[in-house]
Amino acid sequence: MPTASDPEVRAPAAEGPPRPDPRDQPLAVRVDNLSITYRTSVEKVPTLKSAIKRAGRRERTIREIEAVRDVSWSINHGTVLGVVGANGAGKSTMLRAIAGILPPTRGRIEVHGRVSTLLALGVGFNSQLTGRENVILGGLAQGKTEAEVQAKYEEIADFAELGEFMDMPMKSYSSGMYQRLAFSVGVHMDPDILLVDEALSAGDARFKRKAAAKMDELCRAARTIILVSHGMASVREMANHCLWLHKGKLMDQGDPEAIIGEYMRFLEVGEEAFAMEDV
Amino acid sequence: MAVMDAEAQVANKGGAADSVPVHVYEPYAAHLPPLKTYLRDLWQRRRFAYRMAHATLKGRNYETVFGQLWLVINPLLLAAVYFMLVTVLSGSPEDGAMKGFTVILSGLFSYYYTRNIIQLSSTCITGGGKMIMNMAFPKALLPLSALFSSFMMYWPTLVVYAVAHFAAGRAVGLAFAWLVPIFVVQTVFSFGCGLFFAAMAVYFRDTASLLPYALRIWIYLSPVLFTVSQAKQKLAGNEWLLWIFKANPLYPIIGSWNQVILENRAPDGMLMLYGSAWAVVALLGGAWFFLSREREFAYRI
Ligand SMILES: Nc1ncnc2c1ncn2[C@@H]1O[C@H](COP(=O)(O)OP(=O)(O)O)[C@@H](O)[C@H]1O
Ligand SMILES: [Mg+2]
Repeated sequence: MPTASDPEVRAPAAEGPPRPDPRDQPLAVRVDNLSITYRTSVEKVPTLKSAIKRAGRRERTIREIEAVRDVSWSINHGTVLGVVGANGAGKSTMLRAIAGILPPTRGRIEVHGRVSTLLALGVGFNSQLTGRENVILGGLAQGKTEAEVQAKYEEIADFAELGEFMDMPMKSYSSGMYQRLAFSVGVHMDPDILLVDEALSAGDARFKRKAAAKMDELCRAARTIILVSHGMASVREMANHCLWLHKGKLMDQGDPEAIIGEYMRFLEVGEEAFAMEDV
Repeated sequence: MAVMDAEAQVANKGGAADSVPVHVYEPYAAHLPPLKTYLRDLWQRRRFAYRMAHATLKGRNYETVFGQLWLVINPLLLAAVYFMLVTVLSGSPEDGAMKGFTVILSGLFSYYYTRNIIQLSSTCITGGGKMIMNMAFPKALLPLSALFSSFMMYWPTLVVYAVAHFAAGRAVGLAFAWLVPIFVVQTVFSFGCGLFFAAMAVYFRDTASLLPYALRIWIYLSPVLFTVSQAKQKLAGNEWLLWIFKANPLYPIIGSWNQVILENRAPDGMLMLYGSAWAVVALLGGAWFFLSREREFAYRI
């Protein structure tokens, strides 16, 4: 996760106008008593064959996983919300629900504004297709017109700095190139609310600096960002509100400094986590 | 899993100039998503389905010269083999080899269109993993794109058929206007089946591998190796066998298609009616099954 506080990553234009106070802004996202339960079949791949074999025995084959349990919070526009928590805490699941991908099992989500997702490993990319095709398809799938997508395309390609790789199938990309493109798409789609799920960690030092500067710019422009990250420093640096999830439950929320401290004590790894940054 | 459904309502807040879309997601009991919103979103994103279809064909190398040739040569070879089989089994066609060949060609190409729609649709959701996990969009776009791909694969074979048609000395007349409604009926029917199998494959992952067997059997029950009048003639005393043929939706669809092309006449009214009924049933059934399940897809991919 690139941050403006890393010495090698410090953005040149870090000093800008102060961020507006979110307290004066309208409501952006409101989550009321949200619960999300996955119901998966016991077998890894459900098939007709196994269903027929099972039919005689009448076994229960559904297993329920409560990924998010009765979580409530709300943020105003201009908030950069950091979400921290261990693996399997339900962070990605909650983000997908806000994006409208996973319908809630119980509860209610209210989202004011256009959402752009920058979820783990890419924006629905198909690796058979070229970077260019993926960018255009992604834009069209989100309801943009071809002209709008074409207009954005140059900006996206310029920012990602992939050169002729934009016209190569994405299966030939390294994971760093993949994420550079994903980052570039996410931030250039002009979202009102940007969802970021651990998608910012790759790229070389130069790209990290650029990405950090861009994130900083978005934060200053009072964009609403929900940031899931294992990089505590980046949450500390960018977020002005923080949620801590554990096993689907909301443990605490509030000032990033306080919440992260609490989370760290909970993990009993303390400062060690800083050393794991960007590994 | 009906209670897991969520409703997304889009409302406009404030003035017209600076309106912010508001989405509300909550569980609700209704079976289908709000249709008006759904269809509007689908229509707005139609270019996606078109672009995706092109990209799919390109991914399969069908957009190269040899890929295009293969699309035509493959069914041509199959038609040649079937023609030999039919000739061995029931003697040389009365009105010449070339005419006999066009009988099989026209039915086979038509059958391939439906087959491709169903086969491409059956993998479009299960194969769209990342897209479905990371983006919110009307999922019917993916079967729609399978339909577009199949059409792009279909029309070059129609050109080849036209050449064979004239080479065989067959006529063209005003009755050929009937091909348009028959094509629409076939497309609607196939799309309905495509929606059904696309959703089915999410619940039973072996659908896509079982389908080719079913589709191969289907070709022998369809009026591809024989025409509707041949079936009626030869099975005259065998009512239940004829009934099996008639129960097949492709019997009226390909049957009427062949009547127009091969006999240069308006199709039987009954066949048209029967085919249209199948199309409506397939579309309503397939769309209902797909739409009532699609909000669950992201949970199961
Ligand atoms: N598609 C899925 N099917 C079933 N269970 C899932 C699925 N995705 C995630 N889970 C489960 O839901 C819980 C939360 O996962 P996730 O939201 O990915 O957590 P995080 O992003 O915080 O690591 C985990 O226990 C995980 O095993
Ligand atoms: Mg995650």
